[in-house]
Amino acid sequence: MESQHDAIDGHLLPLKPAVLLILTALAEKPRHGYAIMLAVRQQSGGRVELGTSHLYRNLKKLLDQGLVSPSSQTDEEDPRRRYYQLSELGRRVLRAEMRRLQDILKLGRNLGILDPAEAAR
Amino acid sequence: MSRKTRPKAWSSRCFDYLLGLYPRSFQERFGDEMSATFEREIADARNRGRAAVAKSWARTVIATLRCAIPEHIDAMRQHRQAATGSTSRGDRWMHCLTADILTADVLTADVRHAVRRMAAYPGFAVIAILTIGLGIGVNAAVFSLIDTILLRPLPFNGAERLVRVWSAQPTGDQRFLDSTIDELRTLREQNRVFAEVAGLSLAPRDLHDAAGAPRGIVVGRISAGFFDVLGVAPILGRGPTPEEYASGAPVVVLSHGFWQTRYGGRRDVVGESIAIQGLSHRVAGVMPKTFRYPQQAILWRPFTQQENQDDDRELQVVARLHEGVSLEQASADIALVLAGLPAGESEDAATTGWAQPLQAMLVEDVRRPFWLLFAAVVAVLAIACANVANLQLVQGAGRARELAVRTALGASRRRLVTQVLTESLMVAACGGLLGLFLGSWLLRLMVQISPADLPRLAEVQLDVRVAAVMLAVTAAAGILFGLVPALRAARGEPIAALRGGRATLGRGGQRLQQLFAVGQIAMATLLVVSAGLLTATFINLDGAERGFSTRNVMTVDISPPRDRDTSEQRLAFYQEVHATLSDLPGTESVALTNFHPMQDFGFRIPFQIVGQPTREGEARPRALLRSTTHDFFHTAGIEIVAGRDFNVDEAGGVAIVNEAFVRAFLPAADPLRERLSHPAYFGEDRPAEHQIIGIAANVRADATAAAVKPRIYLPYHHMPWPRMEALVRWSDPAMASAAAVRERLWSLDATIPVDVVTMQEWIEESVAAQRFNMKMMSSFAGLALMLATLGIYGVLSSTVARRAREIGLRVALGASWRSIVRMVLRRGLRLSLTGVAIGLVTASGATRLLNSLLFGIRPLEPWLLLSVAAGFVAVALAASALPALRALRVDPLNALRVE
Repeated sequence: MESQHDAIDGHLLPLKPAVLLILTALAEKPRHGYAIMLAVRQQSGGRVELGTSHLYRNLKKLLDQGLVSPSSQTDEEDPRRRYYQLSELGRRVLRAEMRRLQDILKLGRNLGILDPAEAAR
Repeated sequence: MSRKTRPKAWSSRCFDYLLGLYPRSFQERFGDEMSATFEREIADARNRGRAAVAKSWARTVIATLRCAIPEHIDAMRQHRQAATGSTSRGDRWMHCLTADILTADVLTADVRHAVRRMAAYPGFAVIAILTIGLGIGVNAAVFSLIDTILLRPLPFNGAERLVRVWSAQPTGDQRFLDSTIDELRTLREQNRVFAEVAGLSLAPRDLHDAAGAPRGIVVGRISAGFFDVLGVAPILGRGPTPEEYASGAPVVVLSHGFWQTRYGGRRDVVGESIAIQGLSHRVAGVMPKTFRYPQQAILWRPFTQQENQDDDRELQVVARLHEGVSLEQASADIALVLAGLPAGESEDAATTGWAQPLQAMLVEDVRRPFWLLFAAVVAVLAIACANVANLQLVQGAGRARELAVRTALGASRRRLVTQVLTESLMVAACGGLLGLFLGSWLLRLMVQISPADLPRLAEVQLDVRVAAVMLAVTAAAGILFGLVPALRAARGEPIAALRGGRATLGRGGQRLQQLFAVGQIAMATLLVVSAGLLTATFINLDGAERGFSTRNVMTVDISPPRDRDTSEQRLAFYQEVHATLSDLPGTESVALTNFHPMQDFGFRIPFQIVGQPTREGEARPRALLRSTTHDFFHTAGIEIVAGRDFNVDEAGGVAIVNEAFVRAFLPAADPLRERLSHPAYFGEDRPAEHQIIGIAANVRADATAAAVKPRIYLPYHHMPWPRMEALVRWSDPAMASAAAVRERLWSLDATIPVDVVTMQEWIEESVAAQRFNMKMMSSFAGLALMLATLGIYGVLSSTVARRAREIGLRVALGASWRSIVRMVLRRGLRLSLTGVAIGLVTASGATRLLNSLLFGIRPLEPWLLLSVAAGFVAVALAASALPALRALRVDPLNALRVE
């Protein structure tokens, strides 16, 4: 099993499912709160619905940890909205988490828990 | 900014309440954004139907409660870390709590369990939630009022540096004198303590505009820099420019309320012309909603050139202290500056002065009643807490068996504790939410019934933080007592609990329960006594003998049309008014006077008793001047206690004085032989000397005032005032109609404003504060009484349930039903008598605080105390009756078989 997690990011892993989805949503492009909520719902196929309270509690933690940073982009429609983007550290952590998950998938396949086709999907 | 002005949807407002549960730092960081996101979320849900909206709300409420608690703990931890730079054991414990106990799975299971239990024992849940909700609701509402009105800085920039400057006499007789233009000018030029100084005086004026019928308004006439001193700018348009101040230009700034009610909030009103006293003024701007200084001002305009020359002592001076200047320094400097002015000969000449914080001045009168009301609601909350604790004790005892079973099955102590905690929190959270809604509703109600002159009403809004603190207190009480059985079960006494078939409370629990009941009754007694005192005060004030009749009399504020400017023209106009109103069907008599009996102010004329020597350098005495028609005393219902009334044709040379005048200035003489004289204010052709022909009874506009001001009544021909009040006495109250009066007067001249107010309305307005105090205190006392009754009932019910076996045994052994009932009632009586006794003893000390608010009743009125005690005993007996009946229904066989 190739374990390539950065030492500094190690204590942040594994990521909670909601956090993983938030980071993934931001990896695509900077988004505001509501857009993150929509993206999370869409990416999870509707299985994860983040409410406003949980979203912002998570966002606060991510901001404090430096995984996410405010973006300078402003919103024409509603000036109260702020945009967030993935920081360099955030991108590294996300990558590390995805590798970790990949490792686990690989393990599942090797042990025959998952059939290879399913795991590849 | 735009967010503040846009009217908010109901859902956004509710969400804002919820946001209030987060720590301030979190709110500041994310509050606005979260509102925006939530608005979209709920809009989105709305598109998917009602079920989605309900689900969204439920999720939001629960999630907020779940997220807000750890956020608070985080905030506390960060705060402490910032202070000490380390993490303590307590912090780690906190961390463990947030990370572990509140994790999703366990919580979900516990919440589900709690909901099931609440559904299984709806009585408990409903009573607990209602109790908490009521306690929190009244507290949140009352504290929000107090916070806005007494505690929060005025809505002015740098409000803590604003002061009201009073002129005063060095003798200390008059500490609250308004100032003159001269004093203001001198202060502004010579002071070394103020960044800015400005003055204002109020004047009643007539308004004519395109927006409706002409009406009387109160104009705030202001000196340059008035708005700058207060640090408030118009929200629309602009304030007067320095040039406009200097030239006394006819521009006005509207108050927000007037702008809304009169002009419907039209933005294009700026630039329009309105006529004040027939002079055209341009609307320059509109002040913000929260700017109401002074309360009465409808609009503000710069002093005219002529007003700038006036030497009337009617200026309210406000100033802004320089940074770092103390009140003492300011007062010393004011005294120094004013001491340099020539004293003048008038009685109210001021040669010194002092500064009072503006906020303290504005809220002076309501401070004490408000804190008393607050004490009352805190007592209500304490009673509510005791009730909840009581309920939890009983509940806990009832579930000892369940907990024992679970312990026996291997549930860990922490799991049991967590679960009980969850249940208590759920009840508290539901109660808290109910409290928030109740609180905001109550607050609106309170604002509605509060006296109109209550300062800062426009700023009042529900303070969620307070509600959260109160909720925490109540929840803590519930948790504390909810935990007792859980801990006991976990401590390893399951066997006993499993063996004992019936719910038992334990000796300590019983004693605690009784203690709660006694405490509740004591507090409720205290509140009911206070409410009784305030109610008696209100009744006494409302029905107080004021020296004039308050029924079937209307006052009509009248000013002559602009084109009737001379004394003669005005007199002629007033005669027309008199004749016209006298013609109205149903009137008994009509009189005109410059101030009606409820107006305890006005021009104080300096006078001299003819023949009495005046001492050199001594100021001349003054008395309120009343200028009236001959039938004034009859119409107003004021008794002439000696001498006679004016005759119809008496135009001058005669005066009537009031009893206070006689007592002050003619104590030894026969007043009806004396003459008085005054300077020739009213023209050389008018007599300046008057024979006193009668003595009128004192009138009291303020029934609580210790002293009545001396008055001189002169026939109105002598001085037809520029405004007068018509008094209309109706012989047939059914025909009394303000509309008829208005119509009559407009038939004389359609351009005059006519304000009709009944004397009864003046009285009501004057006792509005007492009415408010009474209503509030009575409601709280009622609530306290209700909760305390519930407390007694709860204790007795559980006693009966606990002693069912004993009762059964007694019945089986042949005890009479009487003795059983007596046993239960005796217990209830003992509890309530103890409570009432403690309450009355406390009341005898505490009601002294009320003394300054009372009128016509002593704080320790025996009949009141006795009737409260009797009432409580009756209530206690009623509350005991149901459990007593239940005791009677105990079937001996069943009771014995239970074991």
